[in-house]
Amino acid sequence: MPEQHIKPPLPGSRFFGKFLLNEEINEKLGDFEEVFRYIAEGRGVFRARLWYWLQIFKTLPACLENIIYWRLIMIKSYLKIALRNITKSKAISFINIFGLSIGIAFFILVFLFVKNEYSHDRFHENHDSIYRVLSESKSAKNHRIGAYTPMRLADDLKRLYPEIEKTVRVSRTTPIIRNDGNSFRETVYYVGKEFFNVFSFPVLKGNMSNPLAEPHSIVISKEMAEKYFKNRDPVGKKLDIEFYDRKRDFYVSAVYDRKAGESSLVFDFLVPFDIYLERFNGKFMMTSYGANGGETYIKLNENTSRQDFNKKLSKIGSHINLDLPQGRSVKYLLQPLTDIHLDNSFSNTLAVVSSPVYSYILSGLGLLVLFIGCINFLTLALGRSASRAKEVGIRKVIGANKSHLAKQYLGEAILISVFALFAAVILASLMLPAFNELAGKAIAFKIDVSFLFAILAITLLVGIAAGSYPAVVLSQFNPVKVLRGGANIKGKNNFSRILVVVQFMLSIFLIITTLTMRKQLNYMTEMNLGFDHERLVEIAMNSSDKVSAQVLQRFKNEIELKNKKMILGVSAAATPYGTDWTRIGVDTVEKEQVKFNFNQVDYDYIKTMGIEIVEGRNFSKEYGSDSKDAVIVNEKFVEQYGIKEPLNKLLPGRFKNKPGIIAVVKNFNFASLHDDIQPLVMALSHDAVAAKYSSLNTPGWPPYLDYIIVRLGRGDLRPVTGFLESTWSKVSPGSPIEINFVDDTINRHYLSEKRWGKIVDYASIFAICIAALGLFGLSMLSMEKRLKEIGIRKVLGAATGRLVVFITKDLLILVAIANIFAWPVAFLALNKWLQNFAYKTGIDLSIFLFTAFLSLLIAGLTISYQTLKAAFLNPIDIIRYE
Amino acid sequence: MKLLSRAEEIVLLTVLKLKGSAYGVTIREHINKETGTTWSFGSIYMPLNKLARKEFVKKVSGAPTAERGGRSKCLYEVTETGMAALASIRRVQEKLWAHVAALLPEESD
Repeated sequence: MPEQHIKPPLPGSRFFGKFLLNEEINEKLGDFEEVFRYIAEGRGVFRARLWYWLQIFKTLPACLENIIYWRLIMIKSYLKIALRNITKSKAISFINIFGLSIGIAFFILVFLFVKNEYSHDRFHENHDSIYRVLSESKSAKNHRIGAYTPMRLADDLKRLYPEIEKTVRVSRTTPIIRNDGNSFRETVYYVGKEFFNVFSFPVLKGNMSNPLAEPHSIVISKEMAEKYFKNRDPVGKKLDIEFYDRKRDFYVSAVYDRKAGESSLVFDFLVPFDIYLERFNGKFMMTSYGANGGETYIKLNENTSRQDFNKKLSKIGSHINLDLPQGRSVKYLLQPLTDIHLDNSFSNTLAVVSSPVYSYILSGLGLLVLFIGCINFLTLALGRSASRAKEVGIRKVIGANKSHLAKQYLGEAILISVFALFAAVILASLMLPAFNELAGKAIAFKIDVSFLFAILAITLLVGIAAGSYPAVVLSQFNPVKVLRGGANIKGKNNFSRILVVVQFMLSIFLIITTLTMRKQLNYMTEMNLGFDHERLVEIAMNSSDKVSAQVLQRFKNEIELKNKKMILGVSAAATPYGTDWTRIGVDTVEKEQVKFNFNQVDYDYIKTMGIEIVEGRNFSKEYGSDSKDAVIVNEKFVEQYGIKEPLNKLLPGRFKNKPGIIAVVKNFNFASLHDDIQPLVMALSHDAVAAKYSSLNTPGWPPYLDYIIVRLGRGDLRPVTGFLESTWSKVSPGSPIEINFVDDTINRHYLSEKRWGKIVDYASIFAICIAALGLFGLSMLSMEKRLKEIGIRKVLGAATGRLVVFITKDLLILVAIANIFAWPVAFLALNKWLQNFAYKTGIDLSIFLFTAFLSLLIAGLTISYQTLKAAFLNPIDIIRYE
Repeated sequence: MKLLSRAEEIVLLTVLKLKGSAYGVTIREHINKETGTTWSFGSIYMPLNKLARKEFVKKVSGAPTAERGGRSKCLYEVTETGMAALASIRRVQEKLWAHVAALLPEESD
């Protein structure tokens, strides 16, 4: 038999070799081959091969056991060395673990936040096939997409498209709800009958199958059941609801859990849509495609894709007469339910939405802090590499190769990050309540599979990111050079210098950002709004046109009789501060449109608000026609429509009553400072701006004076609000009073800026702390190395002061360089951010200079302990041993 | 000292008997012959590895031979602690087997 035929199968021996330790390959493969040959000669090659393969599989368990045994011993030894190293330099290890754990804790918080943001509305069983219908309207100048759709759309869709399984339309109103002598103004939602069949909100009590079937049924949330009925069973109980002028009795048919999952539909009171129909059936709101009264949700059947259906939906105009004005087109399209929460592009929506930008900002901040922690690890590991060089040398001499050492040092880094992980989980759970408060969230610390996966992944990633470079550097030391002494490890110093610069650059960037954000916020809250926003109160009347007029008059009379000092003025308006005024567009003779924002106001509005009149006169009862055809405009209006000498000119546009401008007032803000000043028109009556040929037909029109505006005098607020309450209960008995300070509204506008400003504050404080700690560690290490040099310098006569300067200089130069790099980056980023505001503060050089000073100060203080220690040491103690 | 397992005892005794020519193939052959059953290499290596970890046997590398594809042998020798372990297991066995012979039915061959 030729020699090559009786070789054992090569794939077999290769495969088997993988399960053997290096030193046992010869032994075991040799044994196998010997027996293989023996069988091959006696019983043939085929039998031998069969035997060979079978034997391999029979032997594998023994080999595996052996490999695992030795691996474990190696791991044990690595662990022992790693722990020894961690405990040997406690300060450095503390800095490392502290920095990383803060970073990982930030990451955990960010992870929880982002996960929460992106998990909204996913708890609904059919969340994949539920959509909201959006309306997209286009005209020559305008293109807008809205979440509100006509209320008749749902019926038409159901009729036209068999793909739609169910539809739910939702609209809302804010009536007064009474029970047991209590009354509250609440937001009540009219919802279609299929609400509980489309959405998976669990019904906790009452009619489980169809709670909205009866016309007088109302479904309330668990929270409202507690508010109105305390511990009693609410099912079947009566709630008195006052819609507009009509009072009606509703009976609680079910209690449901609106918090079954993260939901962007947060409805406390649900009544059947029939109630809406009762009021609007046959009227404009239900018959026309011109009025968007609420939101429409649909559930498609399983086999229909959104794209296909959107295509069909875009041709809806060929089925129904949308009755659009000339030059305007409307399209309807679907938005997945799960996209709703992070879509904040609609000014009018029933859903609770949030901006995805917050997720980005937070992720960026978290990664920044984590990155700074990682850099600490890197610089300190490199700084310590000299003292570990001997260890590397000895290991190499004994027989470790590069990859062994690299693995060992990487393992150490991962071990440290695992320690940091444990600390981070504890830290994060402690920080979560404060974080929830800051971010305005209610996130629970829940450990699930995705969470575990994420933290393990980040821990490994941090370990590898922080440990791989030191591992490579350390494992490359030449044992001969290292052990002989005087190994050249200088080249790495430049790298750690770069790292320190990067670290400080990031911290400086964060500080500049924080300070500028704060400045912008102060600027906005303290800016002159064009009216006096302090001690200004609004009281909602929430009744009909006629009743409001009577209540206002009675209220004024009461105030008139009583204390003059407490209350300086009373007026009223249709739209309160902070809400957009009604947008009106009227054609001119030249077929152009005059567009402006309109508010119907009472006589003393200008005076009570503290708005400054530039020219002209206020509304006055002496001129009887003021209530019909007088308007007051702002400077922006005059400017935009180019009216010269505006007093007594007619308002441009074709109006029925030919209104004349009686005064021009200074520009003032009626909404938030995110928006620009708009052209404004104020009149005593909406008749003044009634167009000649068409009439507005929207739910808020015609307006009436719905808000009493009260200017309060100086002094304690409590007696004044008490006085207002008692006056209110006299003039409008039985209805709840809603006192709203304009200052509160202004603060609410900037709530999110304030919140995120605070979060950035904390992030930058942590970042600079970690960076400073890292610098502390680094200065400690470099001082250890330079002690002898300093000793010799002292012996040779260096003065202490000069030594301090000499030692500090190096690190301070790095921080200065970091400043130079951070400035342009911060400038560009802030410039971009400030674009979001119509009124923006400038980017201030003094902030940059202050930050530079601060960073140098922090760096100087951090290293001062080490510097002073070195400068005051006795040279004898150091250079004695040589 | 922990007692040897049966497999370890068999392998250790075989190494002792083979006197310097004990390596994987011969150990397996001998055991197969003595016990009358076929042992796989796995069931030899497992006790051998354990004995080596406990230092009851030591490895000596032998000369490479042609029938092994040019690979060197790994010869096993029993150490002194190995001897002691054998002695102690033997003592235990003798104590256990004492007076048992009378109770057993007689073997047919």
